[in-house]
Amino acid sequence: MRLRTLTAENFGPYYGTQRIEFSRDRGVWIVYGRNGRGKTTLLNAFRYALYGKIMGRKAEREPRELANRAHHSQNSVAEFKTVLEFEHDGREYKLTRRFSDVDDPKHVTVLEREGTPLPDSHAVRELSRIAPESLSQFFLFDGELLRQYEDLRDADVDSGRRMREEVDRLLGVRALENAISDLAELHRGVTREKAKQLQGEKKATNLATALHEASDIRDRLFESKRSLSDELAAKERRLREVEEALGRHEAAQHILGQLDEARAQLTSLEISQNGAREALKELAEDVWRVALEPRLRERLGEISRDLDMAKERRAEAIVHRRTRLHLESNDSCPVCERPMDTPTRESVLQRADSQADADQIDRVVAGLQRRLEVLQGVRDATQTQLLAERERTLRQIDLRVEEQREDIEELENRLQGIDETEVRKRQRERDQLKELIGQLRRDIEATQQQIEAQDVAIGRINDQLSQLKVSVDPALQRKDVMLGQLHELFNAALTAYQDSLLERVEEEASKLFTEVRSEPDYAHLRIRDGYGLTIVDDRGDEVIGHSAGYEHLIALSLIAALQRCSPVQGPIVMDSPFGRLDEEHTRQVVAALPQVADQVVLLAFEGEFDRDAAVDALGSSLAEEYVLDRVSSEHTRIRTRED
Amino acid sequence: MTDGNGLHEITERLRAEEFPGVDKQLVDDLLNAHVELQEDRPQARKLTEQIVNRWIARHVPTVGVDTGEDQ
Repeated sequence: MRLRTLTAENFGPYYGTQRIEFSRDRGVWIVYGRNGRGKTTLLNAFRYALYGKIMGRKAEREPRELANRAHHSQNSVAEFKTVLEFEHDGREYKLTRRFSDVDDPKHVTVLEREGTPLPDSHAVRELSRIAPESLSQFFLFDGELLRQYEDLRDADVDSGRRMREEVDRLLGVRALENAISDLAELHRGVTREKAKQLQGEKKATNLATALHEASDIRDRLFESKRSLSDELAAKERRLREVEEALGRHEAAQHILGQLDEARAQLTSLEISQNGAREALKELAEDVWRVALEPRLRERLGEISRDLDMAKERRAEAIVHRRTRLHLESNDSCPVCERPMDTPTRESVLQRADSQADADQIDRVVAGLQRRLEVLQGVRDATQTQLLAERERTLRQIDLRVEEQREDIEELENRLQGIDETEVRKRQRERDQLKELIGQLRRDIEATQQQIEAQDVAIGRINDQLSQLKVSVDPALQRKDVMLGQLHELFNAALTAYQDSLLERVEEEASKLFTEVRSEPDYAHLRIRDGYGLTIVDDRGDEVIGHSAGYEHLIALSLIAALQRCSPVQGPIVMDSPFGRLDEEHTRQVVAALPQVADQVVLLAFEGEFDRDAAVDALGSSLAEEYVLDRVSSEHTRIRTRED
Repeated sequence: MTDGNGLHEITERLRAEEFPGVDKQLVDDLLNAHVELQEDRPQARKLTEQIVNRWIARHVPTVGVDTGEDQ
């Protein structure tokens, strides 16, 4: 496909009729525009023109939203039109799409080939042949879409699996698989017919019956597989619809996720809160003791001091009692054992007698100790510290519960106007669909194995029949042989093509990558099953953890490689695809654009790259530069840079 | 694809080497139909049958065989 012109009429900010011309079969067209001028809308104009769809950030947008506001207010009707002129296989086409919210139907599509409008059904077929919508992401994309290519490396991610299927479709692998499937089906019909004819042949009757039965079994298996495949396709379609619908509520989903988490945390906090309350309650009957604590502490101190003093006095009393007992029966000093004169002895005895009796002091000490133990017991029972700790814990939990409730309230306020039940219903449906799709895939695989086993059996019977040299309708016989050979040929081609593809995509992607990368030791890209690409350095090691900018380069390299390796080729329209690239890489990617596809339309904001350097690097490949000029907030004008 | 490793090139190489009795035009027609009708399976099936039947109708009268091994 080669673009000729794109005309947008009252499409978004493109008030009135605006037109871009693609005067050459090869080249790079750059459209410059500041933010808000309508670059993304221009990408959508291409998308609407080709596929009749308009995409928002994550999901399809309502066409009404894209009607020019000035035109709408002047004419009281939301309407717009796109006209895409292009050439394909040497024929000129003009594709007109019109939307009007007052007409019925709201959308009208007219495809003209060589100036003649095609009937609707024919036009749909022709368009799906020339520009299959399922491959749109390889031709129309922005920086955001490029990130999805990273999913190719992850075999378990749904989006990665879908992307791999789409790459297979782009590269023609699916075309071969479909051809094999259709030829096999035709061959089965021929086998059945042949079995019917052979049943009339005496010597072949038994084998013909066996062939007939084997064909029946195989047919039933095939029908079962087809029915499962249809169901799978329907579920996958539904999953895409549900995901698209959820995409429109992405913000709501995010809030719901936060809300679920916040509610779960609140539940957990409330459990902790109840636990803390119970723990505090266990100590609650001792709370009165807390009031006594300061007096208790003071009294305990006094008693301890009295006790210490009493103990000292008791020790002294014991010494005096021993002294008295010694002096009552001895004249010597109880300490040094030297003789003691009478006056000294009398004096010592008198002093010993004047001291309190040790037994009395013992009673005082015992009394004090009892009081001390009682008060100490009271103090221990209050567990003041534990009580304070539990009170503090409860206060903290109460605070967190309060904060969590406020967060939940705020999230619930943000959800106002959004049908939470509906979003949750769709989320549940999405999860159920994913599970069902997994099961269907397993069932299809199992049925396919049974079909293959039956094919082997049919092949054996056919071999035996061919040795009998019985006659059947020559046309049928010829068809049988031809279909068998075609089936074998296409199977062999599929294997050979798939084997060569990975190598070829790796080689083509590496070619572009080595031109745009700035790290000289990043030697090339390596492909894995499923088209995931990784960087390999000059020592042959895979580079792990490279930058987001390099992910971007890998994605661009893959797109270029897919374009070169695909039997379906066309122009590429990219909207600000340099999001994660630094200045140097951006310059190198711009210079390499002519290698990405024959026609490349680059939508860029002013200053996204050095224009002078780009003009020099692109040289004669630069076909035209357009500028999006602001006339008003409702009117952007497309003009060539020279105008 | 210009290096002989495209879908058509690989299929043609295999046809010429391993299935020389299979008509090149028949293979091309089938392959083109499936590349172009990837998104329209019913139409692709119908066209496959038509291509094969037309080819048989054109070629069988000149073949005139009564058993399977005519290649």
